[in-house]
Amino acid sequence: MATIQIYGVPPSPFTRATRLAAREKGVEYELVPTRPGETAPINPLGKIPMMKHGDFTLYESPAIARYIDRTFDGPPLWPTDAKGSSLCDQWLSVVCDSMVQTALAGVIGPRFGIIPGTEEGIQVALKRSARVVGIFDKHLADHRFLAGEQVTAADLFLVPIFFYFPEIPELKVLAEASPNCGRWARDMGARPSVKATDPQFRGLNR
Amino acid sequence: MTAIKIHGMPPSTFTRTVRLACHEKGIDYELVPTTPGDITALNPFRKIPAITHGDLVLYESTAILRYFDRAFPGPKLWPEDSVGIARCDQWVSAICDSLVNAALRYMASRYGFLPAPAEMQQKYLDKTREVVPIFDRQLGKTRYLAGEAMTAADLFLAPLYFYFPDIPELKMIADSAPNCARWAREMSARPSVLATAPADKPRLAA
Repeated sequence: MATIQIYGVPPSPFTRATRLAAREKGVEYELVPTRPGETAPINPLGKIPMMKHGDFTLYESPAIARYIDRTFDGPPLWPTDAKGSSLCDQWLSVVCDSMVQTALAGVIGPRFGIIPGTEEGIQVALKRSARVVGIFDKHLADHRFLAGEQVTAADLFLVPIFFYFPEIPELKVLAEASPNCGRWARDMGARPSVKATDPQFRGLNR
Repeated sequence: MTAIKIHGMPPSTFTRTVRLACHEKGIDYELVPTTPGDITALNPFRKIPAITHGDLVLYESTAILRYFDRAFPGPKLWPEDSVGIARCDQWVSAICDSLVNAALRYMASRYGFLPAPAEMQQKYLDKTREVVPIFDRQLGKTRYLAGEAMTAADLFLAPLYFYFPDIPELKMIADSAPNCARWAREMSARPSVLATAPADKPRLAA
Protein backbone atom coordinates (compact mmCIF):
# COMPACT_ATOMS: atom_id res chain seq x y z
CA MET A 1 0.00 0.00 0.00
CA ALA A 2 1.20 3.49 -0.79
CA THR A 3 2.64 5.49 2.10
CA ILE A 4 0.96 8.76 1.13
CA GLN A 5 -1.77 9.94 -1.21
CA ILE A 6 -1.18 12.90 -3.51
CA TYR A 7 -4.36 14.52 -4.84
CA GLY A 8 -3.96 16.28 -8.15
CA VAL A 9 -3.58 15.74 -11.89
CA PRO A 10 -0.36 15.01 -13.81
CA PRO A 11 -0.31 18.20 -15.96
CA SER A 12 -0.46 20.46 -12.87
CA PRO A 13 3.08 21.80 -12.28
CA PHE A 14 2.63 21.86 -8.51
CA THR A 15 1.22 18.35 -8.46
CA ARG A 16 4.27 17.26 -10.41
CA ALA A 17 6.59 19.07 -7.96
CA THR A 18 5.15 17.08 -5.03
CA ARG A 19 5.36 13.82 -7.01
CA LEU A 20 8.98 14.63 -7.84
CA ALA A 21 9.65 15.23 -4.14
CA ALA A 22 8.11 11.86 -3.22
CA ARG A 23 10.09 10.04 -5.91
CA GLU A 24 13.41 11.72 -5.13
CA LYS A 25 12.84 10.83 -1.50
CA GLY A 26 11.85 7.26 -2.34
CA VAL A 27 8.36 7.57 -0.81
CA GLU A 28 5.64 5.47 -2.40
CA TYR A 29 2.56 7.48 -3.25
CA GLU A 30 -0.79 6.97 -4.83
CA LEU A 31 -1.94 9.72 -7.20
CA VAL A 32 -5.64 10.36 -6.55
CA PRO A 33 -7.01 12.19 -9.62
CA THR A 34 -8.38 15.50 -8.30
CA ARG A 35 -9.07 18.64 -10.25
CA PRO A 36 -8.94 22.22 -9.00
CA GLY A 37 -12.28 23.11 -7.44
CA GLU A 38 -12.84 19.48 -6.35
CA THR A 39 -10.61 19.80 -3.32
CA ALA A 40 -13.19 20.04 -0.51
CA PRO A 41 -13.07 19.15 2.30
CA ILE A 42 -9.27 18.99 2.47
CA ASN A 43 -8.52 22.35 0.84
CA PRO A 44 -11.14 25.12 1.04
CA LEU A 45 -9.00 27.24 -1.32
CA GLY A 46 -9.83 24.88 -4.19
CA LYS A 47 -6.24 24.32 -5.29
CA ILE A 48 -4.28 21.19 -6.06
CA PRO A 49 -2.19 19.36 -4.98
CA MET A 50 -3.07 18.09 -1.55
CA MET A 51 -1.51 15.28 0.45
CA LYS A 52 -2.74 12.70 2.92
CA HIS A 53 -0.48 10.72 5.26
CA GLY A 54 -2.56 8.54 7.58
CA ASP A 55 -5.05 10.95 9.12
CA PHE A 56 -2.99 14.02 8.37
CA THR A 57 -3.99 16.17 5.42
CA LEU A 58 -2.02 19.07 4.00
CA TYR A 59 -2.19 21.49 1.06
CA GLU A 60 0.17 24.07 -0.53
CA SER A 61 2.92 22.28 -2.42
CA PRO A 62 5.96 23.88 -0.69
CA ALA A 63 4.50 22.77 2.66
CA ILE A 64 3.94 19.27 1.25
CA ALA A 65 7.50 19.00 -0.13
CA ARG A 66 8.97 20.08 3.20
CA TYR A 67 6.73 17.68 5.13
CA ILE A 68 7.87 14.80 2.90
CA ASP A 69 11.48 15.86 3.42
CA ARG A 70 11.19 16.04 7.20
CA THR A 71 9.05 12.97 7.74
CA PHE A 72 10.71 10.32 5.60
CA ASP A 73 14.20 8.86 5.21
CA GLY A 74 15.96 9.33 1.90
CA PRO A 75 18.12 11.97 0.26
CA PRO A 76 17.50 15.44 1.77
CA LEU A 77 15.51 17.80 -0.46
CA TRP A 78 16.89 20.82 1.42
CA PRO A 79 20.57 21.39 2.22
CA THR A 80 21.30 20.63 5.87
CA ASP A 81 23.35 23.77 6.62
CA ALA A 82 21.67 27.09 7.52
CA LYS A 83 23.00 29.07 4.55
CA GLY A 84 22.33 26.37 1.94
CA SER A 85 18.90 25.76 3.32
CA SER A 86 18.10 29.50 3.15
CA LEU A 87 19.28 29.75 -0.45
CA CYS A 88 17.10 26.77 -1.32
CA ASP A 89 14.15 28.53 0.37
CA GLN A 90 14.97 31.70 -1.57
CA TRP A 91 15.05 30.02 -4.97
CA LEU A 92 11.99 27.94 -4.23
CA SER A 93 10.13 31.13 -3.36
CA VAL A 94 11.39 32.91 -6.49
CA VAL A 95 10.15 30.01 -8.62
CA CYS A 96 6.73 30.09 -6.90
CA ASP A 97 6.48 33.87 -7.20
CA SER A 98 8.40 35.49 -10.09
CA MET A 99 8.54 32.44 -12.40
CA VAL A 100 4.94 31.45 -11.74
CA GLN A 101 3.61 35.00 -12.18
CA THR A 102 5.40 35.54 -15.49
CA ALA A 103 5.91 32.33 -17.48
CA LEU A 104 3.28 30.06 -15.92
CA ALA A 105 0.32 32.34 -15.17
CA GLY A 106 1.13 34.89 -17.88
CA VAL A 107 2.09 32.70 -20.84
CA ILE A 108 1.75 28.93 -20.38
CA GLY A 109 -1.66 29.05 -18.66
CA PRO A 110 -3.37 31.22 -21.28
CA ARG A 111 -1.65 29.55 -24.27
CA PHE A 112 -2.68 26.13 -22.94
CA GLY A 113 -6.27 27.36 -22.59
CA ILE A 114 -6.24 26.75 -18.83
CA ILE A 115 -6.63 30.35 -17.70
CA PRO A 116 -8.06 33.32 -19.62
CA GLY A 117 -5.66 35.85 -21.10
CA THR A 118 -5.37 38.31 -23.96
CA GLU A 119 -2.64 38.23 -26.60
CA GLU A 120 -1.56 41.67 -25.35
CA GLY A 121 -1.25 40.34 -21.80
CA ILE A 122 0.73 37.35 -23.04
CA GLN A 123 3.19 39.63 -24.84
CA VAL A 124 3.78 41.65 -21.65
CA ALA A 125 4.26 38.42 -19.68
CA LEU A 126 6.73 37.15 -22.31
CA LYS A 127 8.93 40.22 -21.80
CA ARG A 128 8.84 39.70 -18.05
CA SER A 129 9.53 35.99 -18.46
CA ALA A 130 12.63 36.81 -20.50
CA ARG A 131 13.96 38.97 -17.68
CA VAL A 132 13.25 36.34 -15.03
CA VAL A 133 14.69 33.46 -17.07
CA GLY A 134 17.80 35.57 -17.73
CA ILE A 135 18.41 35.81 -13.98
CA PHE A 136 18.02 32.05 -13.56
CA ASP A 137 20.38 31.47 -16.48
CA LYS A 138 23.01 33.74 -14.99
CA HIS A 139 22.71 31.97 -11.66
CA LEU A 140 22.95 28.50 -13.23
CA ALA A 141 26.19 29.53 -14.96
CA ASP A 142 27.95 29.40 -11.56
CA HIS A 143 25.83 26.76 -9.86
CA ARG A 144 25.10 23.26 -11.06
CA PHE A 145 21.67 23.36 -9.46
CA LEU A 146 19.67 26.29 -8.09
CA ALA A 147 20.84 25.99 -4.48
CA GLY A 148 24.35 24.67 -5.16
CA GLU A 149 25.93 21.42 -6.29
CA GLN A 150 23.03 19.17 -5.27
CA VAL A 151 19.47 18.86 -6.51
CA THR A 152 17.12 20.46 -4.00
CA ALA A 153 13.43 21.25 -3.68
CA ALA A 154 14.03 24.46 -5.65
CA ASP A 155 14.96 22.46 -8.76
CA LEU A 156 11.95 20.17 -8.30
CA PHE A 157 9.62 23.19 -8.42
CA LEU A 158 11.30 24.69 -11.49
CA VAL A 159 11.24 21.49 -13.57
CA PRO A 160 7.46 21.24 -14.12
CA ILE A 161 7.30 24.85 -15.36
CA PHE A 162 10.50 24.96 -17.41
CA PHE A 163 9.72 21.63 -19.06
CA TYR A 164 6.61 23.21 -20.62
CA PHE A 165 8.71 25.89 -22.34
CA PRO A 166 9.35 23.79 -25.50
CA GLU A 167 5.58 23.57 -26.05
CA ILE A 168 5.20 27.35 -26.51
CA PRO A 169 7.14 28.75 -29.51
CA GLU A 170 8.27 32.01 -27.82
CA LEU A 171 9.26 30.24 -24.62
CA LYS A 172 11.10 27.61 -26.65
CA VAL A 173 13.14 30.40 -28.24
CA LEU A 174 13.78 31.86 -24.79
CA ALA A 175 14.90 28.47 -23.42
CA GLU A 176 17.22 27.95 -26.38
CA ALA A 177 18.81 31.34 -25.73
CA SER A 178 19.52 30.31 -22.12
CA PRO A 179 22.41 27.84 -22.32
CA ASN A 180 22.83 27.33 -18.58
CA CYS A 181 19.15 26.63 -18.07
CA GLY A 182 19.51 24.25 -21.03
CA ARG A 183 22.38 22.38 -19.36
CA TRP A 184 20.41 22.24 -16.08
CA ALA A 185 17.32 20.97 -17.92
CA ARG A 186 19.37 18.20 -19.56
CA ASP A 187 20.73 17.17 -16.14
CA MET A 188 17.28 17.23 -14.61
CA GLY A 189 15.65 15.53 -17.60
CA ALA A 190 17.92 12.50 -17.14
CA ARG A 191 16.58 11.82 -13.63
CA PRO A 192 14.21 8.86 -13.24
CA SER A 193 11.83 11.01 -11.16
CA VAL A 194 11.46 13.52 -14.00
CA LYS A 195 11.00 10.83 -16.67
CA ALA A 196 8.40 9.01 -14.58
CA THR A 197 6.25 12.12 -14.07
CA ASP A 198 6.27 13.48 -17.65
CA PRO A 199 2.67 14.64 -18.13
CA GLN A 200 2.73 14.37 -21.95
CA PHE A 201 0.51 17.44 -21.95
CA ARG A 202 0.38 20.10 -24.65
CA GLY A 203 -2.59 22.16 -23.54
CA LEU A 204 -6.34 21.91 -23.93
CA ASN A 205 -6.25 23.51 -27.39
CA ARG A 206 -4.40 20.72 -29.13
CA MET B 1 27.73 39.66 15.96
CA THR B 2 27.24 41.52 12.69
CA ALA B 3 23.97 43.40 12.64
CA ILE B 4 21.21 42.47 10.27
CA LYS B 5 20.35 45.06 7.67
CA ILE B 6 16.84 44.99 6.25
CA HIS B 7 16.56 46.69 2.88
CA GLY B 8 12.97 47.76 2.28
CA MET B 9 10.28 50.33 3.06
CA PRO B 10 8.00 50.54 6.11
CA PRO B 11 4.71 50.51 4.13
CA SER B 12 5.71 47.32 2.26
CA THR B 13 3.83 44.41 3.81
CA PHE B 14 6.69 41.96 3.29
CA THR B 15 9.23 44.42 4.71
CA ARG B 16 7.02 44.70 7.78
CA THR B 17 6.80 40.91 8.09
CA VAL B 18 10.59 40.66 8.18
CA ARG B 19 10.81 43.50 10.72
CA LEU B 20 8.10 41.86 12.84
CA ALA B 21 10.14 38.66 12.88
CA CYS B 22 13.20 40.56 14.15
CA HIS B 23 11.18 42.23 16.89
CA GLU B 24 9.55 38.96 17.94
CA LYS B 25 12.91 37.18 18.08
CA GLY B 26 14.76 40.09 19.68
CA ILE B 27 17.15 40.55 16.74
CA ASP B 28 18.71 44.01 16.35
CA TYR B 29 18.43 45.33 12.82
CA GLU B 30 18.96 48.43 10.81
CA LEU B 31 16.29 49.37 8.27
CA VAL B 32 17.94 50.66 5.10
CA PRO B 33 15.26 52.53 3.11
CA THR B 34 15.25 50.86 -0.29
CA THR B 35 12.59 50.89 -3.01
CA PRO B 36 12.00 48.02 -5.43
CA GLY B 37 13.74 50.10 -8.12
CA ASP B 38 16.86 50.48 -5.96
CA ILE B 39 17.31 46.90 -4.85
CA THR B 40 18.68 45.34 -8.05
CA ALA B 41 22.20 44.96 -6.67
CA LEU B 42 20.86 42.80 -3.83
CA ASN B 43 17.89 41.21 -5.57
CA PRO B 44 17.90 40.99 -9.35
CA PHE B 45 14.18 40.17 -9.23
CA ARG B 46 13.64 43.76 -7.94
CA LYS B 47 11.50 42.97 -4.95
CA ILE B 48 11.79 44.20 -1.41
CA PRO B 49 12.79 43.26 1.20
CA ALA B 50 16.26 41.74 1.12
CA ILE B 51 18.58 41.30 4.07
CA THR B 52 22.32 41.37 4.45
CA HIS B 53 24.03 39.64 7.34
CA GLY B 54 27.82 39.73 7.06
CA ASP B 55 28.55 38.21 3.65
CA LEU B 56 25.10 36.72 3.26
CA VAL B 57 22.58 38.38 0.98
CA LEU B 58 19.12 36.87 1.12
CA TYR B 59 15.80 37.81 -0.46
CA GLU B 60 12.26 36.38 -0.42
CA SER B 61 10.58 36.97 2.94
CA THR B 62 9.78 33.33 3.72
CA ALA B 63 13.45 32.43 3.23
CA ILE B 64 14.49 35.37 5.43
CA LEU B 65 12.16 34.39 8.29
CA ARG B 66 13.39 30.81 8.21
CA TYR B 67 16.96 32.04 8.26
CA PHE B 68 16.23 34.12 11.37
CA ASP B 69 14.61 31.13 13.04
CA ARG B 70 17.59 28.89 12.31
CA ALA B 71 20.42 31.34 12.90
CA PHE B 72 19.19 33.24 15.97
CA PRO B 73 18.00 32.35 19.45
CA GLY B 74 14.71 33.73 20.76
CA PRO B 75 11.10 32.59 20.49
CA LYS B 76 10.54 30.18 17.60
CA LEU B 77 8.62 31.48 14.57
CA TRP B 78 7.77 27.93 13.47
CA PRO B 79 6.44 25.13 15.67
CA GLU B 80 8.97 22.39 16.49
CA ASP B 81 6.98 19.28 15.46
CA SER B 82 6.59 18.09 11.86
CA VAL B 83 2.83 18.46 11.75
CA GLY B 84 2.97 21.92 13.33
CA ILE B 85 5.69 23.04 10.93
CA ALA B 86 3.66 21.76 7.98
CA ARG B 87 0.53 23.58 9.16
CA CYS B 88 2.48 26.80 9.59
CA ASP B 89 4.06 26.38 6.12
CA GLN B 90 0.63 25.74 4.65
CA TRP B 91 -0.79 29.00 6.01
CA VAL B 92 2.29 31.04 5.05
CA SER B 93 1.98 29.70 1.52
CA ALA B 94 -1.80 30.25 1.40
CA ILE B 95 -1.26 33.89 2.41
CA CYS B 96 1.58 34.48 -0.05
CA ASP B 97 -0.42 32.92 -2.88
CA SER B 98 -4.21 33.13 -2.46
CA LEU B 99 -4.48 36.19 -0.23
CA VAL B 100 -1.66 38.21 -1.81
CA ASN B 101 -2.98 37.58 -5.32
CA ALA B 102 -6.39 38.85 -4.25
CA ALA B 103 -6.25 41.38 -1.41
CA LEU B 104 -2.74 42.77 -1.89
CA ARG B 105 -3.32 43.21 -5.62
CA TYR B 106 -6.58 44.94 -4.85
CA MET B 107 -4.83 47.29 -2.41
CA ALA B 108 -2.01 47.96 -4.87
CA SER B 109 -4.55 48.92 -7.51
CA ARG B 110 -6.54 51.13 -5.12
CA TYR B 111 -3.37 52.85 -3.90
CA GLY B 112 -2.29 53.33 -7.52
CA PHE B 113 0.99 51.36 -7.20
CA LEU B 114 -0.13 48.72 -9.66
CA PRO B 115 -3.10 50.04 -11.61
CA ALA B 116 -5.52 47.40 -12.85
CA PRO B 117 -8.57 47.62 -15.12
CA ALA B 118 -11.94 47.78 -13.32
CA GLU B 119 -12.82 44.18 -14.16
CA MET B 120 -9.52 42.89 -12.72
CA GLN B 121 -10.08 44.99 -9.59
CA GLN B 122 -13.49 43.39 -9.24
CA LYS B 123 -11.94 39.92 -9.60
CA TYR B 124 -9.39 40.67 -6.89
CA LEU B 125 -12.16 41.92 -4.62
CA ASP B 126 -14.40 38.89 -5.27
CA LYS B 127 -11.49 36.56 -4.60
CA THR B 128 -10.71 38.39 -1.34
CA ARG B 129 -14.35 37.98 -0.31
CA GLU B 130 -13.99 34.24 -0.99
CA VAL B 131 -10.67 33.74 0.79
CA VAL B 132 -11.07 35.81 3.98
CA PRO B 133 -13.86 33.55 5.36
CA ILE B 134 -11.44 30.60 5.09
CA PHE B 135 -9.04 32.44 7.39
CA ASP B 136 -11.96 33.43 9.60
CA ARG B 137 -13.07 29.80 9.99
CA GLN B 138 -9.53 28.77 10.90
CA LEU B 139 -9.27 31.55 13.48
CA GLY B 140 -12.60 30.37 14.90
CA LYS B 141 -10.95 27.03 15.62
CA THR B 142 -7.49 28.11 16.76
CA ARG B 143 -6.20 31.20 18.52
CA TYR B 144 -3.55 31.84 15.86
CA LEU B 145 -3.36 30.54 12.28
CA ALA B 146 -1.19 27.51 13.00
CA GLY B 147 -2.49 26.71 16.49
CA GLU B 148 -2.43 28.18 19.98
CA ALA B 149 0.91 29.95 19.61
CA MET B 150 1.79 32.79 17.29
CA THR B 151 3.92 31.73 14.31
CA ALA B 152 5.43 33.06 11.08
CA ALA B 153 2.01 32.64 9.45
CA ASP B 154 0.53 35.36 11.68
CA LEU B 155 3.47 37.65 10.89
CA PHE B 156 2.70 37.31 7.17
CA LEU B 157 -1.02 37.96 7.63
CA ALA B 158 -0.81 40.94 9.99
CA PRO B 159 0.79 43.58 7.70
CA LEU B 160 -1.68 42.73 4.94
CA TYR B 161 -4.74 42.54 7.15
CA PHE B 162 -3.94 45.78 8.95
CA TYR B 163 -4.49 47.66 5.67
CA PHE B 164 -8.05 46.33 5.35
CA PRO B 165 -9.65 49.04 7.55
CA ASP B 166 -8.15 51.76 5.33
CA ILE B 167 -10.01 50.67 2.21
CA PRO B 168 -13.82 50.77 2.51
CA GLU B 169 -14.47 47.67 0.35
CA LEU B 170 -11.95 45.61 2.31
CA LYS B 171 -13.19 47.01 5.60
CA MET B 172 -16.63 45.59 4.78
CA ILE B 173 -15.07 42.17 4.27
CA ALA B 174 -13.13 42.45 7.54
CA ASP B 175 -16.27 43.58 9.37
CA SER B 176 -17.97 40.30 8.53
CA ALA B 177 -15.03 38.21 9.81
CA PRO B 178 -15.37 38.23 13.62
CA ASN B 179 -12.62 35.71 14.32
CA CYS B 180 -10.14 37.59 12.16
CA ALA B 181 -11.14 40.71 14.12
CA ARG B 182 -10.44 39.00 17.47
CA TRP B 183 -7.07 37.81 16.09
CA ALA B 184 -6.28 41.30 14.75
CA ARG B 185 -6.99 42.86 18.17
CA GLU B 186 -4.62 40.40 19.86
CA MET B 187 -1.94 40.90 17.23
CA SER B 188 -2.18 44.68 17.30
CA ALA B 189 -1.40 44.71 21.04
CA ARG B 190 2.01 43.12 20.46
CA PRO B 191 5.03 45.43 20.88
CA SER B 192 6.40 44.15 17.54
CA VAL B 193 3.27 45.29 15.73
CA LEU B 194 3.17 48.66 17.50
CA ALA B 195 6.86 49.28 16.74
CA THR B 196 6.51 48.60 13.00
CA ALA B 197 3.33 50.52 12.18
CA PRO B 198 4.08 52.48 8.98
CA ALA B 199 4.22 56.20 9.85
CA ASP B 200 2.93 57.52 6.56
CA LYS B 201 0.33 55.30 5.03
CA PRO B 202 -0.25 55.47 1.29
CA ARG B 203 -3.28 57.41 0.07
CA LEU B 204 -6.03 55.94 -2.02
CA ALA B 205 -5.85 56.79 -5.71
CA ALA B 206 -8.57 59.05 -6.98
